[in-house]
Order: sequence, then structure tokens, then C-alpha cells
Amino acid sequence: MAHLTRSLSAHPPELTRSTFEPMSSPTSVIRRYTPPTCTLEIAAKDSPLSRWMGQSVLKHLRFKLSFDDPRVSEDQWITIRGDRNQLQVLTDAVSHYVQNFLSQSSRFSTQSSIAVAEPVTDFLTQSEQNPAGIHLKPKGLISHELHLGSLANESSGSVLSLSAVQLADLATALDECSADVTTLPNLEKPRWQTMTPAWGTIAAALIVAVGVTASIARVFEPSAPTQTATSQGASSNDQRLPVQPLPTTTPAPNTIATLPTAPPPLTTVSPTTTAPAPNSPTTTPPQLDQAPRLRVSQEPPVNAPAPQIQIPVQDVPVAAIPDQTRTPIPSSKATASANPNADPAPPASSSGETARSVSPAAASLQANQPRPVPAGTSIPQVAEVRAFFLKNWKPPQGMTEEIEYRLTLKPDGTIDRIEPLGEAAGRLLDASFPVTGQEFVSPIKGSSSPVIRLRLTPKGVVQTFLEAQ
Amino acid sequence: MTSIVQPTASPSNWEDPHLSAQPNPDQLDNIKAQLDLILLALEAIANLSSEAMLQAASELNLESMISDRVSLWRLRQSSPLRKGQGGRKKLDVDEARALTLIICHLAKQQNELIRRAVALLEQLTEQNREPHQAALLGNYLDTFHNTYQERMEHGETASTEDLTHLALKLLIDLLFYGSPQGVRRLWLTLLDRSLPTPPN
Repeated sequence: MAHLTRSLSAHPPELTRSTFEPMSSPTSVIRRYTPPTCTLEIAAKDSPLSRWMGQSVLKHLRFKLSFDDPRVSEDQWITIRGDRNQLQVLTDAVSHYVQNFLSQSSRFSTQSSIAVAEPVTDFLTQSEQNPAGIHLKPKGLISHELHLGSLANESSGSVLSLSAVQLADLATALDECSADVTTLPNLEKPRWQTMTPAWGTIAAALIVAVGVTASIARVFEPSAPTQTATSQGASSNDQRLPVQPLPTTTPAPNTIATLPTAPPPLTTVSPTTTAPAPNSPTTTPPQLDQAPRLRVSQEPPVNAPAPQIQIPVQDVPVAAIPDQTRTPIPSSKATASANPNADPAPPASSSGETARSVSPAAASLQANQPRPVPAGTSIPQVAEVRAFFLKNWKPPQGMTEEIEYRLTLKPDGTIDRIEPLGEAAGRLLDASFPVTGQEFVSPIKGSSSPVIRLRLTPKGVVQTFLEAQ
Repeated sequence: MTSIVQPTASPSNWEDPHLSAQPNPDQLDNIKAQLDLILLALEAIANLSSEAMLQAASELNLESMISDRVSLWRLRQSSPLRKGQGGRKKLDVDEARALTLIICHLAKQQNELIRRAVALLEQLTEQNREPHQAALLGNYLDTFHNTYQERMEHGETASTEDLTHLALKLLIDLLFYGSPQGVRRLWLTLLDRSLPTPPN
């Protein structure tokens, strides 16, 4: 279930809860609420009064709220902590703010002359009333400022910027928590200093501005560890690594280790990307992904343990690959490294997984699942995907370049997730693409979750390839 | 489309004091418009047909109120913004509740798509680019515009900019209506809207 917590694509934002008891006290309770762009954790003690209330009642509650939007780099993640009262105030403030926000739009939307109104300032006064100073303000139409008041700490600053999606997730997490948890007011002085070291394992954030102004590394999530071991996640690795020329050796092992996914970091340049890469020493031949992909099928699949040690793969001479593919790997890595926070253009993986599956040494460091495609295999779904898009998709206006997507299928043949590879791909993703639950292709024999690469050209050409099973 | 989402409403929601507040007939006027517009936004973003809404009604056990396309149409047609002065212009409180439940059910079902759209909108706005540059948003806006102009009394006179603004605001609202507390939020919004607008 872990992969559900971070997905922005095919999975609805699930709120996973886990309740378990740390060894320190048998009545301790910990709960987590994890919509995609934030994490709310609470720790409390079960009150003996639960017995009389007929439900679990908590006391000495402490919470930790992390604004950990995977679309922004980790060093911009903010964490705040507080007690029950502060949680209550925050929940009320967010709830009122959202309600006002919704009412604002309804106010001007149904006037017969639809006057475009700026958000009225009158709802600020209401929200500034609480003594903790926790309140929200709109910033234009799309962005919202969360004033942390007494929840502010050194690393968070006093104001956070939240996008609409982040605000919605925050509201969801807070609502779920308050529906879930009944807490007593503090009856005695809380003695929870011992709990704080548990939170100390999370690195403190350095910078305040989280929201819309942050550069978005990619629109959609990297896949989960149990899904595809693709370069999508690897591209996120690269985005966060310090700028270094290739080949590198363990540039930021901590960063890698804390990532939820551990794919091989052989990222590449999307053959279609036009993102600025002024430092790129070479240019990738656009037909790169064609030839190497065909060659993939020649090699036997190799599974690998220890997905953590990814970076050293770069050093491995990929001798088995034709020269064509060797060049782009360093260039793409330099490109990615040179633009650690560059706006869009997440590097697609074309020669990436080629190298991964072809070089035995590289392949030996792959994650176990899914298996790279062995020689000459395909599944009927590859052709079915192609047929689907030929039938349902046509090149949209303004499409000037080829775009690629990675589609992960569920065993029942519906779509699990769609990862656009590249900024243009993300932009051109439209309603003709399948959504969860929609009949897409036939069920997979053997109940696996294959990954299919989809390529669309401005001329309407549709190509599909099996990446992994 | 088959729903994989559990109905969000349970009877206990309606015992909440907020939710049992009964709007008076004047207030209902604006509620009707609001409900119709939100449904329009849902239609436009997810290419939903009345079939989907009827399906939702069925899953929520609301068939007694909304059993077929005609009854659904009649309820929506009660909006004062709509063309056509003849015909029913009434919507009672139970019907308003039914539409509220249906909206939130669908918004939750389509949450992934709505999230995707809002995230795109955020991205493009941040880059100072027009929303319609993203295919998903462009299609949404076109559909919203066309349908609005087709259906609403003052459809032709509404400016493109105003309609775009309205469409995008509704899209963002849908994100919240699809959340666990969506039903409650929408209901409160409707009630709040029905209060007279403060003079400017």
C-alpha cells in the first residue's frame, strides 16, 4: 500500500492509516494521514477514559505535519509540529478558509452579469481572530498563504504558500484526522518531550516558499517500488543531486536512500524534449530510442538485489551497448544535473532502460520488479494499447514534437498510471487518455502489471513498446 | 461508467444542524443556479453525460427523486439562468440535497482527473501561460463555453473572459467537493450563497 501515498496519477489520494504501538508505552497511538502532497502524523496516548466513552479517546496528542509535495524538491519540504490545541486551531482555520473560498466563487458565479471579482477581503477579518494567529489568506486566485502563527518554526518561516491542490490535501488530511480522533483537552501538563526525538529523524526544511512558485520537477509521480523500476524516479534523483559531471560515484547517498522508489538512475534525454540544456555537451540523436529498444530484446533479463546502490551504475562501462547509446547517457545526466530544478522536461527514459537491460553489470543492480523484457517477448496488450490510441486520440492543436508516456497497466487490463515523459507530454495529456476503471485493454495473463511505452507524433503516428512485465 | 466509489453520504450527515437548515423559497433560487453550474463544470471536465448522473443517483439510492433523464433535466432546468421560461421552475429541498449528493459523488469519482487538471492549471498559471495551452484544460474550457452559451438565457452576452474565470473557479471548487467532507462543504456553500449579497 505504500505506493499509494505518493501517487498523483491513477490513484485517488488515499488516506492510509496505520495504528501501531511503540514499545515505550502500551497505550500509545500513532496515526498517519497521507494525501499526496502532505503528511499528517499524530501521536497520542489512549486515555483510560476510553473505557467510559465507549470509543478510543486520546490525550496528550502531538502532531507533525509535513508539506512534502513530491513535485517540489525535498529541500523545500516544510514540517511543523504542535499540540492538540494548535491542531484544532489549524483545522478550524483551514476549514473556515476553504468554506469561505468556495462561497466566494459561488457569490459571483450566479450573478446575471457575471462580474469577475477579486477575492473579497472581508473574510480575512474572520480568520485572523484566533490567538494563535494561525490563518490563511488568498494570494490571487490560485495560491493561498498559510500564516503559521504559533506553529511557525525557524525552518518553516511564518508563512507558507500553498497551491489549490496542496490546500485541498491539507484540508482532507485535517478533516480525516478530526473525524477519526476524539481527544480530551489537556487535563494536565503534557509530558511528551520524549516523543520529539522520534520526529528528529526527519531533516529540517531550509526554505519557506513551497507553493506555486516552486519549480515542478515533473507533474506526475515516480512509480512505486513494487511497480516499474524505471528511470522516472531516477530523473527525480538527478534533479536533486548536486551538479556534477558524469560519471559520478554516490553523489548524494542520503537523498537516494530516503526516496520511496529505488529505480536505476540511468536517465536520459527525451528525444522529443526541447527544454533548454545549455550545458549539454552533446545532443541526443532523435532516433536513439528506436534502435536501442530493438536491441533490448536480444539480451537475457537479469534481476538484481540492492536497489539502493544505484549511482555507481554510471561508472559501469556499458560495453554491450552499441556506441550510439553510450554518448547520450553522460550527456543526459549532465543535462539533468545541470538543471537540478529546471522547469519541466523530466528526462524520459529511452536509452535508459536500454542500458539497464543490456549491460549485465548495470542490470545486476536493477530492482527485482518488474522484469525487463526478455528476448522477443510481447504481450497482446501492447498492440491493444496502440489500437486504442489510434482510435481515440488525434494530435492536438499546438503539438509540435513527439511525446511519450509510460503506461502502467493493472492486471485486469485497466490503466494504473500514466506518466508523461517530458513537459510537452504533460501539457498535451488530455481527456482521450484512459482513466482508472475505464475499459482499456484485455486482462493480463498471469496477473502482472506491465509497463508500456507510448509514443505519439504530430502526424498521428502511434507506437507502443513493452517496457516491462 | 461503473463507479468504484462508495457513496459519501450517510443518514447521519443530515442530522447535522447545518444540513437540516431549510432554505426559504427565495434562497432556493440561487441554489438552483449554483447546482446547475457545478454539474455543468463536471460535464465539461469529465465528458459526463446524464447517464453518469443517473448512475450516481442509482448508486446513492436516489432513484425515487431522479429516475430518468427527463426528471434530471427538469431539476436542472429550474435554474434561473437557463433559457426557456416555460416549464417547471421549482426545486424543493430534498431535490437540492439529491443533486448535492450526486455532485460530490461524481466529483470524488473524477477526483484524479480533476486533480490532474488543477495541477496543470497551477503549472501554467505559474508560468504565465494561458490555461487552454494544456489540452485537458483547453477542451474543458471549450466545452464549458459552448454548453453555457447554448443553455443559458444570457449565454451569448457573457464575455469569454468571464466564462473562463467562472469555469476555472468551478474546476478548483470541484477538487474540494470531491474530498471526504465535500458534501458538507457544498451544502454549506449553497446555504451561504442563498444569503442576500451584501451591498457593494
